[in-house]
Amino acid sequence: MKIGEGTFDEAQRPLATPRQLSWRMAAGLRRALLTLLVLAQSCVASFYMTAILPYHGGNMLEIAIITLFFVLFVWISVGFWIGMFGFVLRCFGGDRLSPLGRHTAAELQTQPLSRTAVVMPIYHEPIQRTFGGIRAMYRSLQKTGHIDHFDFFILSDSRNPDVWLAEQAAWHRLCQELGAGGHLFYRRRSLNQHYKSGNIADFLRRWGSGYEYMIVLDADSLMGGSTLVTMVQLMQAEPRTGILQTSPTLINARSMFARVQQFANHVYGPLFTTGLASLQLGEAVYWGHNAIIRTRAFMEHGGLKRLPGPGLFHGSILSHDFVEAAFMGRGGYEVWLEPDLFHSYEESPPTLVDDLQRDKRWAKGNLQHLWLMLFEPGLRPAHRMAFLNGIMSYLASPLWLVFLVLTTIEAARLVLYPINYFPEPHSLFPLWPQWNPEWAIILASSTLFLLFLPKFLAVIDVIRCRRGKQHGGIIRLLFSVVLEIVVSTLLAPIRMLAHTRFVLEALFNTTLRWAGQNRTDETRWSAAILNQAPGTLIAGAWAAFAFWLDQMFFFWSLPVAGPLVFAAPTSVFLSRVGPGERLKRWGFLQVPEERHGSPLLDDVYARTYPQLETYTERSSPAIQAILDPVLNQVHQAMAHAHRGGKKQEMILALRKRCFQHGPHTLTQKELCHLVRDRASLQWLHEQAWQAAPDSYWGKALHHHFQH
Amino acid sequence: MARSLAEHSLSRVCDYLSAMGVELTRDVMLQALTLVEAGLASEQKDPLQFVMTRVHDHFAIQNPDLPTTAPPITRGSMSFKP
Repeated sequence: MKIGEGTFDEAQRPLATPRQLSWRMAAGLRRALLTLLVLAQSCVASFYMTAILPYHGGNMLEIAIITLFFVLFVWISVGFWIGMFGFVLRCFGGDRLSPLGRHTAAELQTQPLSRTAVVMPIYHEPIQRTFGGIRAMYRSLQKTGHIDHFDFFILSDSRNPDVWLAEQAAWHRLCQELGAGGHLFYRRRSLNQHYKSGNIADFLRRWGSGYEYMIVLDADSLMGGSTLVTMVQLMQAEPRTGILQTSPTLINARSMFARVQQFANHVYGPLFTTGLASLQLGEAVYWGHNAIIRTRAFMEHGGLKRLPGPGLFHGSILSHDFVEAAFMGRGGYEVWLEPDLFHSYEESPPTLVDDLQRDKRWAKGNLQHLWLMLFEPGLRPAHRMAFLNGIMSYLASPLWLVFLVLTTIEAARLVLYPINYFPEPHSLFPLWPQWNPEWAIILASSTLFLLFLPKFLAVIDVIRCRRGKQHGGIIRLLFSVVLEIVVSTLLAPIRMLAHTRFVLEALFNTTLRWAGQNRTDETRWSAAILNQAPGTLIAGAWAAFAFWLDQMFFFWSLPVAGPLVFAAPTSVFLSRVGPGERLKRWGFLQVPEERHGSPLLDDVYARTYPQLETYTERSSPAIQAILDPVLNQVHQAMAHAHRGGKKQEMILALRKRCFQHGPHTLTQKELCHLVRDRASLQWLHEQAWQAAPDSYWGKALHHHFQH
Repeated sequence: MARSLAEHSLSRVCDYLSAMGVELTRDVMLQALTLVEAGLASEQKDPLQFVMTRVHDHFAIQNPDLPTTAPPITRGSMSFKP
C-alpha cells in the first residue's frame, strides 16, 4: 500500500521472526531473574526489619512498618539490579540483543533511507536556543549528505502573538540562512488541544502520511546528523520496530544543580540505561523526544482517547509517551531503547525549583497511568509494569514519608507508653521487647549499599573504558562523584516532601499553593525560603521531638531532617551559576563534551551566527511584523483571509485602534486576531509607511530604522 | 532642527528600499529624489503618502522569495481503536 492512502492493512504487519522469539525468551529469563533477586533480597531485608522491631511484627503498627519497608525495599532493589545488569552487560561489550548489537555498521550502511520528518513541538520556548538547535541539526545532516531525505517541522503551540511572530520571523531567517526552503517548515496551531500529543497528532493528520518516519524532538533536544541517519537505517532494518528511543545525555549545564545532574547523567546513565534496555528489550518505553517513530504504525495505534474515569482519571492524558509506547506494543510493534546511539542530547532544568515544577507535571501524568494500567485492555504486561514503575517513581515518596511517621510513632510508643508484654490478645506467653541496634546498623548499611554501589560500579565502568580523562582524571572524577552523592543526599528528602505534595495534589485533583514561583534564572532567597518553609518547619519540629524523645532516635532522624532544615540555602546555592562555572574551570563535574568539545554543540553554543531572536533588537515582533516589508509578507503568507461578518467588523475596529495608538494598546487576544488577518497586516503595513512623522507609526519607523 | 516633509519622504523611501534589499546606489538615490520631487510638485497634500503609494511602481522592486511554510497536505487520520 502506498503511504498516504489513509487506511492500514492488518496483513501488512510484519510476522514474528525467530529473532523476535529469541528476544522475548531472553526478556522472560532476565525479568524472571530480576524478580527472583529482588524478592529474595527484599524478603531477607524484611526479615531483618521484623527482627529489629521491638515486638517483631506483633502489632498492627509494626505490621504496617514491615509491609511498607518491603514495598520500598523492592523499589530500591529494582534500581540496584538494573544497575548491576547494566554493569555486567557493559563488561561483556554491551547487549547483543539491542538494535545496534544485532546489526553491523556495514549492514546498516546498505539500508536505503526513507522520507523522515524531524518534528519539534514548541510552546513559548527561547527562540535563539530552539532555532539554533535546529540550525545545528540541519547543518550536521547536510554534512552526512542525506539531507534530502529529511524535512524539519517546527510545530508551534505558542499563544502569545509576540512570541509566535518572533518564531515566524526566526523561521524565515533560518530558511534564508540555510537555504532550507522546502525542507524546513513552520506550523502554528491556533487551538492547542491535548497539549504536545495533540500537536503531534495534528501534524500526523496533515502530513504524517507523507513520511515513513518521524523523529520527535523537544525544544532543547539536539541530535547529530549521523545519529539521525543511523536511526532511520535501524528502522529500515527492523520493520517490526514501531519506536526506537535514544538515551539523551544532558548538556549545557551552568548552575551547580544542572552541573550535578549532568555529571550524574554522563557517569551513571550508561549503566542504568543499558540495564533498563536489557530488561525491557522490545517492550521499552518512549520518553516523548529524541526518538524515531514509524508514522503509519503510530497513526494506526498511537491515538490517545480521553480518560473516562473520575477526578484525576478524567480528560486528556498528560504524560502521553508511556501510553503511546504501550499502545504501539498492543498493536504488535516493538519499542526499543538503544543506549549506544550517541550524539543525542537534551538540557537539564537549571534549578531545583524548575526541576520540581517539571516533576509536578510528571507526577500527575504518571499517576493518571494507574487507570490505564488497571483497565486498558490488551496492553503487554511489560508495559503495565512500566506504568507501575512510573507511578512508583512518585508514589515512593509518600510511602517513605508514611514509613517515617510510623517509625516515629513506634519510637514514641516505646518511650512514652508502658511496655506491652502481651501484644497477642490470648497468648499465655509474654513477649519481651528487644532492640538490636547492631542489626539496625546492618540493615541501614545494606540499604546504603544498594543505593550507592551502582554509582561506584559506574565509576569502575568509566575507568575500565578509559573514560576517566574525559571527566577530568581519576582524582577529579572521584571528587565529583562524592560531591554528587552529597548533593543527591541533600536533595532526596526535599524531593520526598515535594513529591508527596504533588501526589496528594494529583489524587485530590487540586493545587496546594504555599509559595510564589521563582521566575529568575537563579533562585532568590525570598522565593526559596517561602518555598521550603513548610518542609523546614516540619523537619525542625520532627527533629526537636526526636531529640526530646530519645537521643539515638534524634541521630537516626538527622539524614532526613537535616537536609530539610537547610533546604532553602541548598536550593539557593545549587541554583547559582558562579560556583558551577568555577567547578567547571577547575575540572570538577566535567563531562566529555566540555573537555573535548563537539562540533554539534559548538554549532549551538559557541559559534556566532546571525541573530535569530528579534525581540530585543529594535522593536517588538508585532511592530516588526507591520513595518518590515519582507517580514510583513512572511506573516501575510502565514495569516488567514476573513470573509466578513461580525469577526471582520471586530478586526476592522482593532486595525484602526492599532494604527492610531499602536499594538501595545491591544490585549494579547486582540493582537492575535489582528496579526492572523492577512488583510489587516497588509493595510497596517501600507498605512504605517504613509503615516505622518509625528504619529505613532511615524515615530516607530524612525526608531526602527535608527537602530 | 526639525526635518522638512521632503527630508522625511526621502528618508522613508530609502529606508523602505533598503529594507526590501535594494542597494542604495547613486542611480537609485537619483530615482528616489525624482519621486520625492514628484510628490512635492503634486496636488496631494501629503508627499509621504504620494511617494509611498508609488514606490513599488517607481522602482523595480522584486518581491522577496518566500520559503514554503508547509508542504502540501497529505491528509491521514489517527486511529483510536484498541
